[in-house]
Amino acid sequence: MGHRRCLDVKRSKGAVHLMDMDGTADVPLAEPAMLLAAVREHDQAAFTQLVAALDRDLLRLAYVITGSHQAAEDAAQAAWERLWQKPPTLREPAKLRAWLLTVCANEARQTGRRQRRGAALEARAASGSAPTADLTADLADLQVALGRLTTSDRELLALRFAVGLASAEIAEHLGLSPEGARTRIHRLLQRLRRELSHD
Amino acid sequence: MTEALSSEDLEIGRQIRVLADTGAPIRDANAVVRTVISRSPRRSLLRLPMALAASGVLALVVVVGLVSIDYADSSSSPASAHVGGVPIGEFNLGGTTYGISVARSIDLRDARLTEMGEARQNSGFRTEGSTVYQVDDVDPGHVLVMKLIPGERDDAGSIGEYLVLVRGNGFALLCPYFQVGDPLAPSECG
Repeated sequence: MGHRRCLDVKRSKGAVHLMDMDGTADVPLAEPAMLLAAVREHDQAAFTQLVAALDRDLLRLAYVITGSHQAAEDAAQAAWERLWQKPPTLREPAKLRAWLLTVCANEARQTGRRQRRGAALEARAASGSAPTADLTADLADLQVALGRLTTSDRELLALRFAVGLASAEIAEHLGLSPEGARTRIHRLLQRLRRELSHD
Repeated sequence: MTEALSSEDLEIGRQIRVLADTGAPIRDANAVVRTVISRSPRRSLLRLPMALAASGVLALVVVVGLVSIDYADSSSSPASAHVGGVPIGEFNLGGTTYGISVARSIDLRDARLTEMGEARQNSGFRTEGSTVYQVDDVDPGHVLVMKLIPGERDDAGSIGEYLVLVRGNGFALLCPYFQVGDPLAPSECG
């Protein structure tokens, strides 16, 4: 993996920049405190700016958790609706992105529980059937392997690799120690490697 | 974000990112916003009533009844619980008394609600069924909730989505479920 392609959060003077590490995108999120205040006043332009900057992160996170395009869109949409209807009061407005990710992950987990009740995701993982027709074989295998993990494990990996949070940020997000987060990630990757090598 | 992962681990991480990208199409932000606003009850004319409801005129907590849970011991055998002498179900909780309270602005949308038993209560407010829930890992010996039927109101307006059953310092345990600075939050939340 010569060139990781992960988003990183760069903070300077209160602003948050979402930077794609291979340089193909750099979407500045100017002054989250101001944007959040504007959203409270129902400023659609500010809200649109937030959606433009962060929607794909929410979708990535929710997709890895749920394994479903529709469920991912539903979870992201629910997060945006929550922000619009009841914007949070954050002591650190720079954590708006983390707040959105938390809300989206919660929505995705709930979707996952509903899916389990319908025996969708787990049955698919157990049967080994191809999860999504438009995936390459490797990615399809990976998705099946992810489906065998718990929801919280998928969330952990999604935060790390799909969204690009550092272990310290993940630890704060999930209430773990940074070392604990790193250890869990390492073990999960080992498990995925084993499963993928057997497929 | 390198953090000493092996090249094999990083390769799987890269594949997770690629997989995530397949589930994350670039959506038209304006379309997303339009959908959000179209579904939002808070848009346009509904803002005024909401502002009034949040004006702080309303008391946070209205004790409207008492739940008493009579319980023999804390073994696995459940004991019956009562509201004002009316049997309300069975709980694996110690014998205790709860106040039934209204918390208009409590937000439990992200909370995990765990069914603790069935109950009937005498507050006069209508609940969705009779299930009593634990909120996340909050001590059910201090806090339980029941889901209200949407639209339940008192003289001051909507009473929110949940009836809260509280005893002891339970209100303080609920602070994470109110926004910072919420004038309707319990006084314990500062």
